Amino acid sequence: MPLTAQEAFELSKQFRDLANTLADRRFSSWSTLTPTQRRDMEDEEWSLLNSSSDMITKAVGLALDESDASIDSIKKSIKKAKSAIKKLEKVSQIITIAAAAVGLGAAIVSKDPGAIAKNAKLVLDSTKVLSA
Amino acid sequence: MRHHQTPAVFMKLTMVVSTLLFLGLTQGCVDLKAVQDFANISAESAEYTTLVDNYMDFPQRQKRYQSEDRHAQLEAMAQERLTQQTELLLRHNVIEEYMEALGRLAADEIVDQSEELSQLTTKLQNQAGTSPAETEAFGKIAGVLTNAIGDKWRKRQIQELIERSNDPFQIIVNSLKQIVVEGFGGDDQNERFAIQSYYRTKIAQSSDPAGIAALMEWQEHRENHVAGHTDTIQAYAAILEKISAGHQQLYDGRNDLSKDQLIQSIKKSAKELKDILSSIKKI
Repeated sequence: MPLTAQEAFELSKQFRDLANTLADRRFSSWSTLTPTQRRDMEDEEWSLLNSSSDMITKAVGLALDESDASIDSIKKSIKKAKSAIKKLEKVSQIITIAAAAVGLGAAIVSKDPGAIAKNAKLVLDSTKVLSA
Repeated sequence: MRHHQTPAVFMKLTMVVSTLLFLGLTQGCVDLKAVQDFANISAESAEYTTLVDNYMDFPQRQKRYQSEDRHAQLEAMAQERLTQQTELLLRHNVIEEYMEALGRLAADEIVDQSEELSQLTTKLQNQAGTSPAETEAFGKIAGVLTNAIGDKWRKRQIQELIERSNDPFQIIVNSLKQIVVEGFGGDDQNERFAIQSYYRTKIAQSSDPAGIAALMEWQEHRENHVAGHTDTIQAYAAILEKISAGHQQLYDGRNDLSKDQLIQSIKKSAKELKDILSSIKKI
């Protein structure tokens, strides 16, 4: 079963805890240890520490992999939002709707059913253009 | 003249009121300033990538404490981290770009109507056959209508954007938060361990009181530096938490973005984000 980012981070902590335990032991028993024993223990500590750091690197890579699909998805959303912004910037389309709406208002006041239907269709069509 | 104009003006006013009722007032304008402010400060927060630089530099700093026979291993680690740099910065960039788009969509100033409105005024003049003063008045009202329609469309776009993006956005922000807390935070703990192990060993091996005092000062200096970095990590994790929670609130309240409770809450989040970001920049 492949490792998850969370599991890899957990492993990095365990390596670090082991390095800490070993270092505590080395310093608390300093006077009773031979120079060789001290050096060997210290070597193990650095190895454990580097394993912890390597595991962090691995975990970061896994976390990046795990969120790759979401990155693609959000990029699509950004693209769509930018397109919407461009549309908003194309005020002429909005103005078209406003003009059509004013025409509809005039038709309603004049109580001309034909003009109301025609202008209502214009408003509807303009809105569709903007929503496309 | 006044007798001839009054019914015409009345009729036109009625027309305008009808139109406003039809399109403007029934749709209502939305106060998106809070969304805009929250999005802008979130985008600015995502620009902060110093923590990534520190993550890249970690193996080099370790060389300071570890013997030369381990430098090749640290160099390999540095190379592997380097391959992640673009992807890490992409997370920051995507959050920044998304929030910028959201903020821009919520911005009122996006619609510059000056030229187009003057064209509309001409159209109205031809259509309604009004006097210059009335044409000007219609032009202004057209502006109100434009805003009303633009607002409705804009609101729907924002709702759709938030709705479509919330799930992937939460995954990206939470993943980055995990990397910051567990990864960058883990590096700090490892660096603290390396400093302590290195200096304690040197101190234990030394019998020179002046040398020991100097070593202890350096140890303290290095540890303080790491402690400051850990504070930044915690503050940045809080920023990501607030961005995530704020976007979730927008998602939950997307059908009524003008709700006072939501606006107040988003305004509060934006202010807190601003304060934390400001504190990070001072560290």
